[in-house]
Amino acid sequence: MWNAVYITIIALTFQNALAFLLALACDREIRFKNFYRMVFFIPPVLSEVVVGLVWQWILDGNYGILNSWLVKLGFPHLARSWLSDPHTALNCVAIVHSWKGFGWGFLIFLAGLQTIPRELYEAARVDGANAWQIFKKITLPLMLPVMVLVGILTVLGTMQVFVLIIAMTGGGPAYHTEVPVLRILASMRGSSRFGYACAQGISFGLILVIVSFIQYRFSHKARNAY
Amino acid sequence: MKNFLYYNTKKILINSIIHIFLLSVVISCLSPLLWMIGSSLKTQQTIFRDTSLIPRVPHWENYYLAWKQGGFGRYFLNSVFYTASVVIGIVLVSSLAAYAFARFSFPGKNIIFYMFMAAMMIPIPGSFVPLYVLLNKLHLRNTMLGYILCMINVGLSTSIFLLKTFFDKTPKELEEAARIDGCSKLGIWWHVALPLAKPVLAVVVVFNTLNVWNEYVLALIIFDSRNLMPLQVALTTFQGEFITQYHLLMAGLTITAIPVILVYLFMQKYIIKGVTQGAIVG
Repeated sequence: MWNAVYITIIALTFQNALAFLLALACDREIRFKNFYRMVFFIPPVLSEVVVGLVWQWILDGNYGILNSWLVKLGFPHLARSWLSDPHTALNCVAIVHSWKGFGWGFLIFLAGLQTIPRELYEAARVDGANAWQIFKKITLPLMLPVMVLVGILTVLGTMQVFVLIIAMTGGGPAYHTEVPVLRILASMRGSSRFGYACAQGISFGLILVIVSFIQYRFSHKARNAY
Repeated sequence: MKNFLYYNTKKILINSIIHIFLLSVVISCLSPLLWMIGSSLKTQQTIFRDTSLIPRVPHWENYYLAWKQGGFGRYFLNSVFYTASVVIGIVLVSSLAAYAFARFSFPGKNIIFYMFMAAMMIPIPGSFVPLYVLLNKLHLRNTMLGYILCMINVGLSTSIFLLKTFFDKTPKELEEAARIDGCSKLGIWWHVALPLAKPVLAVVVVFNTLNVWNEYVLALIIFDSRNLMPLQVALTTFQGEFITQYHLLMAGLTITAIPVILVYLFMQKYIIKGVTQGAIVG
């Protein structure tokens, strides 16, 4: 359970911050905008199995390309077997998950940013506001609902992550990357305790619904405060 | 003039910083894929030593080997079959249901509709154990039909929602004209409503295609026999059995990834539309 929460926290902060920055960068008159948008959404359309297996091969301890680059660039002491080391395995999984997921957030943020009327920015600029003030007083409040939406989607999506983990580590080393769904599957297939697995599934599902409900209420309050 | 120059250089500087930032993310998006394709063209001997992105002598026969020896040809056809039948099923059922929800009034209409919407809220982990037991009781486990029915069910709620909102917005006059000309209700659905709904149907089709192609959990719990498995599950079993044949694994991954990327590149417009609309639904 805590592993899933940990991955979720990384995804919420790192992945969504990246997505938001990218969306801000693309929400202006800039060349190759469509090209960027196209590329950023390639990882999300790939399946988790493909992504997991490719990254497993990249992060492989003996033959992975990451280690060979680290050695070539002169950091041989940093090279390690990323996925079988208990200290790095979970972080690697979290980063790969963010790599796969930021495109969703990016697209939704971008769609949200484009609904903000340009006149608001122009009016603010005429009134002498600088870029930071415009961002803080216009962009941020208007984007708040979108942010909450992306937040809820991220939490729901990330708490259920497990295909990636099956493909990358299989829950190892020694349960260091085990997550709830993997546990449910294990008690179903491994020991055939269906009642137990079902109870686990339902309680986990309830937790997810409650978390998203709390987030929704929280966003309601925040929106009323503005 | 000096001021103008100052603003211009500042603008160019900011723009180039943004471009560098975006480009670095682009590289991080694409390099794993290039590495995957590169690795799939190496041999068992060179794959562990040669860390260059593009191998000097590409071995295209790996794809043939993976297709024949690794059995990816069979899994590929399985995936194609599942995807096609599930998408056809979803389009038929969801368009009929959405049309009924939008146009007809019958007792319990709202309750049934909200039940569909509530089904979207239930996370998959909470439901796959009962599903497994149910399929076992119906003797549908480890059959193609069982998997196809389950996957149709997975895609229904969102598709119905998208189509219903569309039908709600389209004017009824066209359909009334068709009715006066003597068209039956089913005829109106087929000749009038479906052709009008083409843009939304495209979103539904593209989204469900990607979804079914990439699906893993249900296939994992439903199938035992290898020759029924779709690509995604086959890949993980392949990884377990042929642990050393990385070049064939990479070829298999490429075979799995390429249709998705092609669909994405050609149907980009619909996908982006679907993401933004689907987000509003969620």
